[in-house]
Amino acid sequence: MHIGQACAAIAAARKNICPQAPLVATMSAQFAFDALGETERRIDSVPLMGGAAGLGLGLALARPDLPVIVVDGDASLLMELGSLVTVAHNRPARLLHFVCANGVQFNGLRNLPTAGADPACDFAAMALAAGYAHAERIGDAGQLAAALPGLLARTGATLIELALARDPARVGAETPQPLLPPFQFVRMRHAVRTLKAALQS
Amino acid sequence: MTSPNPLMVPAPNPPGGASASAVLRALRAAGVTHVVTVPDFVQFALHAQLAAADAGIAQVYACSEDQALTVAAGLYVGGAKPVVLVQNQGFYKCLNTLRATCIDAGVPVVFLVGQFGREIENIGQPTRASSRSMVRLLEPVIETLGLRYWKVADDADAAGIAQALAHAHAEETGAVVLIDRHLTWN
Repeated sequence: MHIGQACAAIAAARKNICPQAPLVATMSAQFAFDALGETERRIDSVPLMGGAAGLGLGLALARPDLPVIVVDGDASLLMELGSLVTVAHNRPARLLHFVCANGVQFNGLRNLPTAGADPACDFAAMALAAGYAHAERIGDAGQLAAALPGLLARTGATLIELALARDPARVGAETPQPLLPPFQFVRMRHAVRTLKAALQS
Repeated sequence: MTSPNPLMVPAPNPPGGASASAVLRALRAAGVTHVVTVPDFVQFALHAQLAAADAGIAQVYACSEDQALTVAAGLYVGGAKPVVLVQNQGFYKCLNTLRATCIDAGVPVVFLVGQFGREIENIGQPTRASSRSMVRLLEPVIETLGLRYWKVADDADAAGIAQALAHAHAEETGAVVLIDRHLTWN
């Protein structure tokens, strides 16, 4: 399963089952959701690695009436791994926390290994050990699509480790990395305002 | 019999300081809904009052100051009015998250930062004159970030909490309330 397939399944399920659910994304997932045009009720932890779980937890504590979906990166979560404990301790009503586990940083650019790639981290096991109500690993797009209605109906904190294939690296000496688009540096400010307004309406 | 190593003997807490109840009253009056925290030695008495059943403000514990700040940001987006309670070391730790959330994204978070580690000779003196880096560097770091700060050294200073919150929300930025010394338990 590639990240685009995983994000497409998550976006489709949100649209069909709980379009009111806030969506928190970071790293590769934000670009996948951009490509899908998935912009409603969304905020990205950018430029900020490690912040997605905290943002999602805060939203879930403020709005226990809504499910909150977080699509995290493995390198990002490793940066604030204690987030698993912070989430579990604060018992959000409905927090569905995906981790895109591809074992690399800069997926699709240089694919540099994360420290958790070897030996491989078991994020689902760590989430359960931290106190999440449910956790499992899913590596197939069809299986993910079939599981999503049930996952979105769960209460408490749920973590789904998405076992993902890496996108081919496309940056190197012949094709150097470009400057990032200006929107990357203001999109979180924009999202704070638009998501806050959407949640108040 | 050997005399104790003077470096290992705790100094008595000198009289004075703001009370936890004055700080709690100021937080309530300003409509604060959540205190998101990695606990602070300087503010033990406030933690105790927040834990009381009738505190009226939820205390949210996080494993790191970065997490405390992102949780506060999510709470704000969700319609709550949080503050972040940490000590000076924790404030230093979360500077990149502060940059992203408060400065770049405009999330109005007020930090209650305890000046942990002040030596007794520095009490009543400017913290910039402290011999300890964690104390001495705090105000210059806050100024470097372009943030405003208010000092709370006694009960009258607790009014600065409302001012800090008003400033942060009006300007869509962070602000800092420096808890100058150990809060008293009354």
